[in-house]
Amino acid sequence: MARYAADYSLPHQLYGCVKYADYPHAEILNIDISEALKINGVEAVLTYKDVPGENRFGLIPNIRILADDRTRYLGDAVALIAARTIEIAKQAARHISIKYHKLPDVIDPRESLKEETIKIHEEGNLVVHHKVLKGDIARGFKQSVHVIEQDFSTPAIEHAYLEPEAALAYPDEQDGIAVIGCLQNIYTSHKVIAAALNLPLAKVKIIQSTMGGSFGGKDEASTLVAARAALLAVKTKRPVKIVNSREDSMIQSYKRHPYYLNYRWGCDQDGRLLAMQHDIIADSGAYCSMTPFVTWRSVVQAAGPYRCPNVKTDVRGVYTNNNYTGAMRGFGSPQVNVAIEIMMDKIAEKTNKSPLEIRLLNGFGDGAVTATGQKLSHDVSLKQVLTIAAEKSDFENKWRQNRSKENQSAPVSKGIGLSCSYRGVSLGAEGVDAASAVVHVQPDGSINVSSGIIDMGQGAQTALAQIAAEVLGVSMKRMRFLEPDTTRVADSGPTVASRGTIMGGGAVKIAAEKVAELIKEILAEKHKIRKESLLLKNEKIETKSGKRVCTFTDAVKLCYAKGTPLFANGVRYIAETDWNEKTGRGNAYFTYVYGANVAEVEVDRETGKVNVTRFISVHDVGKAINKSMVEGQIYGGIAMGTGYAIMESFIQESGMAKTINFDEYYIPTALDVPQMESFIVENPDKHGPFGAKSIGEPALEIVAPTIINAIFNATGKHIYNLPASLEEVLLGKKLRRDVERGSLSCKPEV
Amino acid sequence: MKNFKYIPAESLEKASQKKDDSVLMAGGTDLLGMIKDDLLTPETVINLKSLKELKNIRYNAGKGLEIGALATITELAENSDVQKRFPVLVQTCKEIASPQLRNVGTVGGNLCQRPRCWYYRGEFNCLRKGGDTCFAVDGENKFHCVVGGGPCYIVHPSDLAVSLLALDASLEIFSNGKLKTVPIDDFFILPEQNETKENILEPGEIVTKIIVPEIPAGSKCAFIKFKERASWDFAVVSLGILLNTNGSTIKNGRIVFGGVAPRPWIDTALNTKLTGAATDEKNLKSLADSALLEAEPMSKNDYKIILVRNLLKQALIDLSKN
Repeated sequence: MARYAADYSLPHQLYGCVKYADYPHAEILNIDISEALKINGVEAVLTYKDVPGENRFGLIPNIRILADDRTRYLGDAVALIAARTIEIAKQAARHISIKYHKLPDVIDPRESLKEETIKIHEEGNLVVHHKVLKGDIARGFKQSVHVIEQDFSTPAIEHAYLEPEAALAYPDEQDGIAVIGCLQNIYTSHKVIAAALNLPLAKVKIIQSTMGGSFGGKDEASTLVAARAALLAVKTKRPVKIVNSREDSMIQSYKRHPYYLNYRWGCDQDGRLLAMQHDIIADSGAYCSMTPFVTWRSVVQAAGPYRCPNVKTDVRGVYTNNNYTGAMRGFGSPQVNVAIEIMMDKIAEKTNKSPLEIRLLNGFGDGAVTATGQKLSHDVSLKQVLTIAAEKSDFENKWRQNRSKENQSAPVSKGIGLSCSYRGVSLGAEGVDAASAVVHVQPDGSINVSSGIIDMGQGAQTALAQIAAEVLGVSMKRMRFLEPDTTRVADSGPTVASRGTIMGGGAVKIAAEKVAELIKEILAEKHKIRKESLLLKNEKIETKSGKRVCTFTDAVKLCYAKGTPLFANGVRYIAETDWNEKTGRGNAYFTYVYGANVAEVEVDRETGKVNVTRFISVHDVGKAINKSMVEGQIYGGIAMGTGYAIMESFIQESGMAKTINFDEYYIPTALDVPQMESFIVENPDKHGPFGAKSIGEPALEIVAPTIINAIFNATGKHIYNLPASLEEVLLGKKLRRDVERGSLSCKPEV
Repeated sequence: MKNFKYIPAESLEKASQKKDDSVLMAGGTDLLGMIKDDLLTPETVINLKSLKELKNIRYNAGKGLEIGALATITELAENSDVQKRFPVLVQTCKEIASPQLRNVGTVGGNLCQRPRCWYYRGEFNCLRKGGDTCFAVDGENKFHCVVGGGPCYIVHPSDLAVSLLALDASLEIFSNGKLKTVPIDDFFILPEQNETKENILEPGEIVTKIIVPEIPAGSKCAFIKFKERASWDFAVVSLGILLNTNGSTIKNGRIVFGGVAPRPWIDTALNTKLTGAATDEKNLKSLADSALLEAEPMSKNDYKIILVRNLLKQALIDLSKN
C-alpha cells in the first residue's frame, strides 16, 4: 500500500504551520511573536532570525525559507509555528503581529522593467535575458513578401497534483536530522536543508515517500515545506509534521510562467520562412525558481522545428509580486509553442496553403540546422509524425470541409487543428547531466533497483525495473524498486526535463550490466568457458549457441558462495552539449524528440463553449520501454493540455490568489477531455537505454495550440490569449479590469 | 477550523430553539466547508438528519409534489414519481455538483446554501460578512451578478431554486413552533433588503418541505445550466423555463434565470411579453434579445448577458417545437 508523506507519523510529533505575509510587497519592520508563544500547546515560533544557516536558496539564491527583509508575495512565510495540534498552531499564527512598511506592488510583468518601477530585489527586476541570433534579421524581413506580427499571452497555471506538499522531519540518533517528504528533487532539498540547519550533508537524510503527482511542481515548493519542518524539528528536538491543505498549496506554490510574446515572421511568396523575430517576457513572480532554465528552453525552441536563415529571439524573465513561477511540465515550451504553431497557421492562411503543407515545407528534415546553429545528427522524424497524424485524422479533407461558409456560420461549428514540435531531451546545456542507480541482486535472486530518479506517478519504477530485468534476462516478478534516499543513491540531478528514462534508465542499464558481468565472470571461471559467449535470458544463463548453463537463481547462489555480492552502482553522464550565452549559439541538447497532434472541436458560437471531441497524438519516443505507460503519458498530456487550452488560469488580483481550490480553479474533468488516440513512432537514439528518448513533456507541449488552431478552423477567428475560455471565444477578448460599472452596453444589437 | 460540539437534533422544536452560537446542519456539504474555512465558528453543530420525517418525497395526483427538506438530491432524482411527473427536476438534479455531493447534499440545503463569491469565501471582510465593502465592484467579478446587485454583487448558487421558481413552488417553514407556507418567490431576497443573507429565514426558522404544484397540462419545462467545466461546477448562467404553447403562440409561461443575480431572477418585463407571443423563430429571437434589458454588468461579466440571451433563444425554439 502506498504511503504518502502525510501518512507518516511518529510518537510525540508536533504540527507545523506558517504565518503568511499580510501584503504582497512590504518591508518587515518588526515581528512580535510574544503573544503566540504564550498560547498553551505552542512549542516553538521561529522567524528568519532563528535559521541557524542559510535562509536563502535557489538558482539565484533569493528564495527565503522565512521572509527576512521584505515580503514579496502573499505566499511568503513570515514565521513558523510548531504546536501540539494543528488548531493550536493556526491559532498561534493569528497572534503573531508584524509591523510593515507597505511598498507598491508590481503585478504586470510588462511594467516590471520600467525605470520608475520599484525594485523587488536588490539586483533589480530582471532575472535573466537570453538571446538567440542567427543570420541577419533585417535582411530577412527585407526579402520577405509577407510579414506577420502578433502578440500572444499565456496564463499562470497550477500543477494541480493530487497530493499537496507534506513533510515529516525528525531528529535522528546521531545529532542529525531526517526528513520524509514528497520531493521531486531530493538532492536539491538535501543541500538546501543541510545549509539552512548549518549541518554537513552527511548528517541530513532525505527520504522520498510515495508521491502523488508533481508535474514539475514539487521542487522548491516541497523543499520549503520540508525545510520548515526540519527547522522546527531541530528547534523543538521533536518530530514535526507539516501538511499543506489544498489552499496552502495553491497559495504557496509556484506556477507555470505566464508569458507575453511578440512574434514577427517574414516569408517568401510560397510561405518559406525568411525571418523570425521573437520578443518574450516571462513573469518569474516574487523569486527566481527555475526562470533562467525555463526561459532558456524557450529561447532555444522559440523558432520551432522550422528552417529559417534569420532568427532573433529575446526572452526576459522578470520579477513581480505574483506567485513565483518555476518548473512545470513543458518547462518553457508550452508557451512558445502556442505562439509558434498559431503563427504557422497564419502563414499558411496568408500563402493559401494547408497547415500540413506549410509545416512540411518549412519543417526540419535529417541534418537540419536549428536556430541555435546545431546540426541535427539523429533521425529527424518531424515529417514522419506529421504525416501519420494527418493520415490518421483525415486532416486535409476535414480541414477543407470545415472552411465552408455553412460550417463557419452554423450554431455549432466543427474544426480541426494541427501542430507539431521538436523538443530538446533532458537538461541540455542547462547543467551537469548525470544520474545514478543501484542494482542489488539479493542472495535468493530477488532484485532491488534504486535510482535517484523519482517516481511521482509517471511510472519510473516500472520502466527502470524493466530495463534492469531486460539486461539481467529475468522476469519482473524478481524486481522491487526502492524509493531513493540521499544516503543510498548518489546525486542524480532532478527528475525533470523528461529525463527519467533516458538518464535514470541509462544509469540502471549500466548498473545491471555490471552485475551481469559479475555473474558471467563467475560462471565462465567455473565452467571454463569464455564469458563473452554467455547470455542472460529467460531466467537462465546460456551460451550463445543455446546451451543452457544454469538458472539465474543458481548463478546468483554461486556468485555469493564465491564471495561475490551482486551489487553495482551505475552512472550515466552525457556531456555533448555546449552553449554560448553571449551569442546564443551552440549544441543545446544532445538529442531531440518530435511530435505531431491533431484536435477536432465543436465550437458553440452562441455560448463560446469549445467541446474538444477527438485528439490524435503522435510521438517519436525513440523506443517505448513500456507501451502502456507511454500511452498513459500521452493521454495525461492531452488532458492537461486541454485544460491549458480552454479553461485553466490561476487568477490573482493584486497578488492575491483567487482560485485556491478546485471549485474555482478549473481543470478538466473526465467529461471535459476528448476521445484520445495515440500513435507511437520508434526511431531509436544512441543516447538512450535500448534507444529510448522521452515522452512526459512532449505529450503536453503542443496540445493547446492544436486546439486553438482547430477553433480557428471552426470559426475563422484566431485566439491569441489563453485560455480559450467562453468569453474569449464568445466575445473575442479577455474581459479587462477598470471599465466603469454600468458603462458597458447591454442593449441588444439592432 | 474551530472545534465544535456535534449533536443530533431531538426534535424540530428543540432544533429551532437553538442558541445563537449553534448552527443547523442538513447534508453539510456547504456548512462543513464554511466551518473549515473559518467563515462560521459555531460552538455546536446540530444535525437535523435525525428528523426522519423531513426526508419524505410524496406525490399526490392533482395536488403535486411534496419534497421533505432533508431528502437528498439523489433521492429526488431517483424518485419514480418525480421522474414521471417532474422530469425537469431530475434534469436539474443531474446538473448539481458531483454524484458524491448529490448523495449527501439535501434539497433544503441546496436552497439555503451560501454564495460562492471568492471575496465572501476568502479572507475579505466583505459586506456579506458584516464589513463595509463589496470587493467585487473593483475586483475580479467575472462570476458576479449583472442584475439585482448592490450594495453586494453575489449570485445565488442554487440550481434547484431556479427550477422550483419556474414551477412556482412554495416552501413550508417551521417558525416559532408553527408551520407557515411561503411562495418560493418571496423566500429569496436581494442585498438591498439585507446584504448579509440570501433569504427570509430568521435564526431558528427551518425549511421543512418544498411543495411543487402539478405542472399544468400541455406545458413543457426545461432547465439549462451553462458551466465552464462539464461537471462539478456552479452555473455561469442557468435558465428554468415553463412554457405552454398553442401551435403558433405562447399561451403562458415563466422564465427564471440563475447565475445572473443575487437570487433566482425573474425578468418581469420579459415574462410579461410571453403570453400571446408568436413562436416563429424570428419572434422568439427578439424575445430572447429583450432579456435582462435592465442589466448593469460589471467590468468583467457582460458576457453573461449574451449567454443568457443565446441560451434562452435556443431553449424557446426547442420548447416551441412539437
